[in-house]
Amino acid sequence: MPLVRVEVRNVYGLGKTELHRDVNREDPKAVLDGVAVSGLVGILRQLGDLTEFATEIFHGIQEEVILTSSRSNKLKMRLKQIEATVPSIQKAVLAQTNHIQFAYTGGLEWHPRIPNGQDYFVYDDLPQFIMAPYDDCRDPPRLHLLDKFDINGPGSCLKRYSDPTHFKRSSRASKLPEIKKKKSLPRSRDISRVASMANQSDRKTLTSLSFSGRTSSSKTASTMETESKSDLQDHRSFSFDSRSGGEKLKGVSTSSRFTPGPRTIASVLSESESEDENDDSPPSQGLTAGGSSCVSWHEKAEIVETNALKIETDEAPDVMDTNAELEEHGEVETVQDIKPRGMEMDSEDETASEEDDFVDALYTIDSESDNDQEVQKKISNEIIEEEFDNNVCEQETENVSSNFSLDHEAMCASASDLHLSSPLSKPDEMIHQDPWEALDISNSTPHSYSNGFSNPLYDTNGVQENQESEDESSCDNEEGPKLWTNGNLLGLKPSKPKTVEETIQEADAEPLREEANKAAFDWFTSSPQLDHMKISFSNSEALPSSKLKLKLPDEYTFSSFQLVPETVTAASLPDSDSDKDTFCRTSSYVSDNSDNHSVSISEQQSEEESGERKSQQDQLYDSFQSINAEAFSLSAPSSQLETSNANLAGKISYLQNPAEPLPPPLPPLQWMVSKVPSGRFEDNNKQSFKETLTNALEQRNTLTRALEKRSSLSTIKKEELNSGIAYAPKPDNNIRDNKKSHGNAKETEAEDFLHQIRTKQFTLRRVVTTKASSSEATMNNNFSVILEKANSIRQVSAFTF
Amino acid sequence: MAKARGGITNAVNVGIAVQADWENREFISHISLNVRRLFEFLLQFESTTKSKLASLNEKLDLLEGRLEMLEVQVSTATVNPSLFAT
Repeated sequence: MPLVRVEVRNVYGLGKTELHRDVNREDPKAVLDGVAVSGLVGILRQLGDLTEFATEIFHGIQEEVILTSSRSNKLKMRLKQIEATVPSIQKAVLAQTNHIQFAYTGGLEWHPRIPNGQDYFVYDDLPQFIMAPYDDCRDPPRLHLLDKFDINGPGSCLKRYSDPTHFKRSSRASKLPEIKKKKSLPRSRDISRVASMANQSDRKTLTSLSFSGRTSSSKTASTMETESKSDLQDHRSFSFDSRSGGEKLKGVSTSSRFTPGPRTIASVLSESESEDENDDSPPSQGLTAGGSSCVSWHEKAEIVETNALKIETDEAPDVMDTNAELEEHGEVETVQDIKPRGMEMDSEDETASEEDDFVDALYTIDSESDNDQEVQKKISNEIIEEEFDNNVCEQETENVSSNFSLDHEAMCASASDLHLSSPLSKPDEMIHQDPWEALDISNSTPHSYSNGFSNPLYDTNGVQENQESEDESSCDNEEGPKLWTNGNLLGLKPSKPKTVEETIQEADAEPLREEANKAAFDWFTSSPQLDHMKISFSNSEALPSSKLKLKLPDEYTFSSFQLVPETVTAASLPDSDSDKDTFCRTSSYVSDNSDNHSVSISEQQSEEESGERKSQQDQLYDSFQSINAEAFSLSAPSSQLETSNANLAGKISYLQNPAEPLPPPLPPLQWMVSKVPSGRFEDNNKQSFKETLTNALEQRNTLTRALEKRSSLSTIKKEELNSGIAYAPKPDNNIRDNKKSHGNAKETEAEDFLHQIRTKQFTLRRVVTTKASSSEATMNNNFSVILEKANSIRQVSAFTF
Repeated sequence: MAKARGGITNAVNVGIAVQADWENREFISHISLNVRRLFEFLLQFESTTKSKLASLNEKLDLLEGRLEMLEVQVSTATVNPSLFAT
């Protein structure tokens, strides 16, 4: 059923109909306008409903929000209190040296007291939209109509059937077979008591029917039929009312126990006894609470007389049919199933409870008449007679239950099986053992009890189900101790709590374990450390290293050092100084700085300072090398240069040592140039060094001569050309002559220079680093001169090539 | 003719009135539809807010339970100082 939260009414329904109803029908426009206006009015009302709904919603939301905020604030306060107390405890705990004592403390005592602040199933706390269907539902049944049959007066039935404790008591009574066993014997004594008991809560129709059938022999079958109908209908009504109450356990239990078993007044008496003992209440109250066990014989007449109850009559003929069948079966079974009672007195009570409930179900109406005492007496006599007949039937029913009571294990299994497999077989037995047969219902209708009492069949199942459930519970209880531990279920043995001794043993074992672990750990760490390992490697491939050896002079102060090439013929230099110093040369360092050094030797310096000769020679060598490098860098090496260089080298060598035979020709310039930048100094002979210098000079001379010749040739050609035209002006000739003379003068100077070079002897000496500024100045001047000359030579070479 | 003209005018007037009525009804239906939408919005709003408040209350319940546990533990610790005796 969908819950309607809010209903939005129709627009035109909200609008007043008078607007378009009381209008002149002849004017359609007015009518239609009226309709439109009513629609607009309806819209306005809808908006009003909307606002109300909105206010309701937001009001509810606001309340909930306030509640949650208050709860959260309370939680905050509690948390703050806990935070205030925790630090002290923390200090105490941290101050502990040994925490084992906490294992033996009981800890906290937990008593949850969580209150349920909100219930959704309580009448007063339900929201309105849920309560609305309750309001719209039908009224409760009219139990006030039964008040006339109740001793307690008006309102008693409603009170009784709306009281949950009533059904609880009845359920307790049904679950106490032991008590009923004990009470089964003095049944006879209680008959009178039952007779005196006037009020019967429910399930009295059937018993009344039966009793009425037996007591009044004068009554005709028609009256019996009417009685049976009325009683059954009453019973049905009450039982259904009890079911509809929902809270009436008694009704449920009784409905479940509404079996046509051997329910007699005796069973009713036993039930009443048990109820009285359990309740310790006066008979009236017991009757009101557990009134199912009471019989009011005086009420039967009223039941027969009263036809005011609105009862369904469809089930009455079925009941009558079943009653007749039961009689037939009962007669046969009473002959066959006579058994000693002593063997089965115990089991009688088990079924007695069922029978009692069944009897209770019969007595559903309480009467208030006082004139039924005589009737009660007669009924009591008949009860005794019927008791014996019913006991036979009870025995048969008890046999079924006794089979369950023999073996608990089998019962547990069989109960489930019975419950599942044959739900109707036993009910059939129960049917055959119905108390109707003992009650001698004179109806001769065929047995159609099963059809009529579909609910009882289900109830019989319920009865046996209850028995089976009880048995199963007993089985479970027996098996309880085995299953209390989870270990068994999981196939593991439960772990016993460790005693103090065991803990001590474990404590002793712990250090041993730790040692073992440590030993293992030490073993693993016993490998030799890397410090002790010797890692050796050898360099199989010797790296190429220069052959230069660093030799430091004796007086060297580490301010600067110079690479000294290995000289084989160091001593062969005749022009060297007396000291046997090695030839030092600032080869790489100086060559990098002075790329433009020209080959030049200053005559004045060599004469003045012998110490400078080596430096000059070095400079010359560098300049020579630079010239060669420039020459080859500018153009491709030519064979002429090589030859010229070779010639120069030879001439230089000749100049230096004319007396001696000419040395072998020097290697080509390319080879010399390539070797010089690497820093390798392969000149072992100073003569070879000299030869290179001379070669450079000669090369320069040849180049200048070649230039002069070409210039002269060019001038002659021009003169010849110009002769035809005109004579060349004399100043040009003069200029040319002057040039020629100047060139000739240059040639003479070069020759002189060469001569000087040849004649002079170079002496090499140790390079001494002098910090004198004057020497440096002269050196600088020499460098400048050399640079100028080198530039000129470069220009010439560039012109030629 | 006058009656005929009157009848025609009446028919025309009726037609016009009917047409106007249609328009009015359409207008009213639009408004009522929007009013229903407002109702639906309010319902949805209510459901969402209440669900969120309910979840919040559940969380508060959990917190209350934990706080109660903590309070009991703290109380036992403070009541029994012998536990911390070394």
